[in-house]
Amino acid sequence: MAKQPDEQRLELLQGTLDMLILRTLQWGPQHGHGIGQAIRAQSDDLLKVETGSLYPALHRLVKRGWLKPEWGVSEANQRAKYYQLTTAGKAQLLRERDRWAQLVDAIGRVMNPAPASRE
Amino acid sequence: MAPDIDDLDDEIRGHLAISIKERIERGEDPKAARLAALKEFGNVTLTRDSMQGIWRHRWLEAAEGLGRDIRFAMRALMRVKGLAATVVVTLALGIGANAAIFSVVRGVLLRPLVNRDEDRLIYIRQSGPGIGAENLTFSVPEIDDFKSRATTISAFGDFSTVSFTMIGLGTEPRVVKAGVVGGSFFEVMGLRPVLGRLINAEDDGPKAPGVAVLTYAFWSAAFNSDPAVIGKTVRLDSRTATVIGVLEPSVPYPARTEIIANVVTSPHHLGATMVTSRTHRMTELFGRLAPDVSLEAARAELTAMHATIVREHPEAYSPKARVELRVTTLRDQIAAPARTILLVLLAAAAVVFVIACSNVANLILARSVRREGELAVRAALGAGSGALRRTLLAESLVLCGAGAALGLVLARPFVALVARYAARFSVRALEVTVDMSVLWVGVGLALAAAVLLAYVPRLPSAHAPAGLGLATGGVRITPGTNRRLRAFATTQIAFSFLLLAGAGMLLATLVALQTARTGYDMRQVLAVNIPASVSGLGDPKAIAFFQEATRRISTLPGVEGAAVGSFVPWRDAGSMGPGFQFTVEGYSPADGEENPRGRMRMVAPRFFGVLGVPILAGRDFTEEDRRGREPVTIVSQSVAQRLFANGDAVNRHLTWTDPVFSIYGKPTPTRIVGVVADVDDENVVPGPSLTIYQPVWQLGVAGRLFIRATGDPYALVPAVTRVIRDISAEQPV
Repeated sequence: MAKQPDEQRLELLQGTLDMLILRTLQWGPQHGHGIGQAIRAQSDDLLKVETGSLYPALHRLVKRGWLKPEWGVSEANQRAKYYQLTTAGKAQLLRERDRWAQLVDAIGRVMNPAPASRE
Repeated sequence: MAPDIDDLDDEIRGHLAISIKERIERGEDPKAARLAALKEFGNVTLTRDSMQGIWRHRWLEAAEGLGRDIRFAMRALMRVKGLAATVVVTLALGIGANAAIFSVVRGVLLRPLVNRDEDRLIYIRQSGPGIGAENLTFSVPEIDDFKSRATTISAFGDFSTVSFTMIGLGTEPRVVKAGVVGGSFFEVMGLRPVLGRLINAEDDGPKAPGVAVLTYAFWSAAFNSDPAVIGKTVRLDSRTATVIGVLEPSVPYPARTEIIANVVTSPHHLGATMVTSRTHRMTELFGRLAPDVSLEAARAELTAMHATIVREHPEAYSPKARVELRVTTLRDQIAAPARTILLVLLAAAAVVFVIACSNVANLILARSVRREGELAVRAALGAGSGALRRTLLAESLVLCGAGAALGLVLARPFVALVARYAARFSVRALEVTVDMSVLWVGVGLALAAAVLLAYVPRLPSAHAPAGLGLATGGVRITPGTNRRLRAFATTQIAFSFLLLAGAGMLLATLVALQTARTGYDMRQVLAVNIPASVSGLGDPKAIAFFQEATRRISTLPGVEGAAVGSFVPWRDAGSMGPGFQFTVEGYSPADGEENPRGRMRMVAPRFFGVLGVPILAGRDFTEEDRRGREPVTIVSQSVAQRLFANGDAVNRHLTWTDPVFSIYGKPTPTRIVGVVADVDDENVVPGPSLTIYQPVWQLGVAGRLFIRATGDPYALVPAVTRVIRDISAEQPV
């Protein structure tokens, strides 16, 4: 396969960005850029979040009450908006994680049908 | 809660700054780092907009979507201008007609009167169906009977109409139509003054000083709403009165008058005839229900009382007239005659609207058939049926909105037209104006039409793929569309027939009216009001005045002829009552029947010529038929045919026998000198009318000057006015 490194990246599955953001913020408050970088780093550069999706998603989560924004100063001494998980956000993360696990499990069964039963 | 735009910009700026700093720390060139960061970020404005979009309310989002759809719809409609224009005009007519008629209906039937506690205010009418007298009115003795006996009515108010020549208040001498009322009238009517005070109990009776109240319309039109008129003194005929107030705007019932005065201003009201004659009826009667008395109870009591009064005074109520009493609320009295006609109009307008809508629906449907391909493509590209409907709704909203706007513009003249028409049936129509209610009706109708039209076209459905239509690009009519087309066409035709039938009947009536032989040839005839002001009845000076005026006006250029009469056909219809009793020699009424009643008209020589009434036998009046000569008269054809053998009336004698004339002494027989064609000047569809013409020069009561012009009659008005002023400066015209 003669693919460019950039194109090796995976498209985010629809509906998973919110979960990834919530998961990232479990380690503590972070600003938008930091969240994007964290997702990228955690996925070994396989997932890249477009800012055009990231920021609207952040605001959507704030609107739903799962995140709390707060202006702060970054380690690089730069003014930035930090996002923090709320209690409702933490509960939401748990729900999404369960759902994701179920989904992976279900898809896994379909893709590798019952190896145990054959043995 | 929602961050403002600066906040969002700050956030993005922060992101970029951090990104650039990181890149520089990794050893990138600052300039390249900046470019890379921007590139990585992508479209800043778009991102910011979508961040902002998150915070927007849902309905705002929807409104924005609709706005977009409407802009799209306008562009789409601009491509089919002809269709759009047709639809808009059709809807405008439908909406305009409905809005106009509705506002008249509201004004006449629904809006409450200004009168205080109008549901307690009743109107009492005496009529004589036997002699075709819709409204006999009441005489003073009759009213006194009611006042002294009634228990269900807390107070009665009386009102009679007279004409005064008013001098004063800085205007030229003019004839004003006046109401003469007792002290309780305004209290009973529940009306308030806008200025000064109204006539009250202290102004009642023959000893009170003369006072007058101006009606609001007169005050604002003739005096520019000048408050200084209060306290001024005016001369009303021979008496004087002080202006004490201005009445609030109210329905002019029973008569549209300019002033309302107390009884002392009218010598006639204080005279013996007025006060004692039971048959001298000229007063309208109103009442206010006593507390806790229902209209039905009052009606029962008054009707029973009336029957008793009739029994007590048989001489005043002829059996033939079948005098009866009617008691209604004032509001019903005013609105009732217009109710049927207005409701019919409203129904007609609704039918017009349905026709307009189905017409438009047909056009839209035809268009949507051509658009099925387009809709199918959009559906295939992922537009949900909701989105497609929204597009259609936007389009029909644009159409209906434009239709409503145009319709409301049309509604204004419509309202004027309908109100003028309805005014024949109810005085309330005169105060109808175009108001906000029209707007709401228009908007409501437009919305209804828009929603209806949006659901007319079929959406491409999953079951009937539009592949064929798309592939060929041709017009395809699916069975469903076809059915709808048929349904609309059927509705339209059905309603059109309904309307056509109604219109046909209306037209038939109109044609009948047009071809009705009215008897008069009134084209090019100018009627001038010249009330006898200086003169009393039969004053020789007045006769001389009219003779002189006639002579001088006849010589004016453009005048073919001039003559004096007492009655303007139709305009004065009904103002003279049911006519007076008379008898002729050789005629005796059947047992129990009273003498025939005839309309009395005073005319001068050449009157028949000027008005185009043919003389069938005998001669016209001449200048010789004046006071002191043999009393003569001319009768209409019906009189001659009904009362004389072979219709041979000339040179026979006729005598007025009506009790009203008894105050002038014993009536003398008059000789019939001529017979003229029947003229029913009260009803447009003529019935045989017993009319008796008396020579003005013998009786002196006239007041109307008829002038036949060779050209435009109105062009003569200034010249005629000048001539009359030349003869008498005090004479109102």
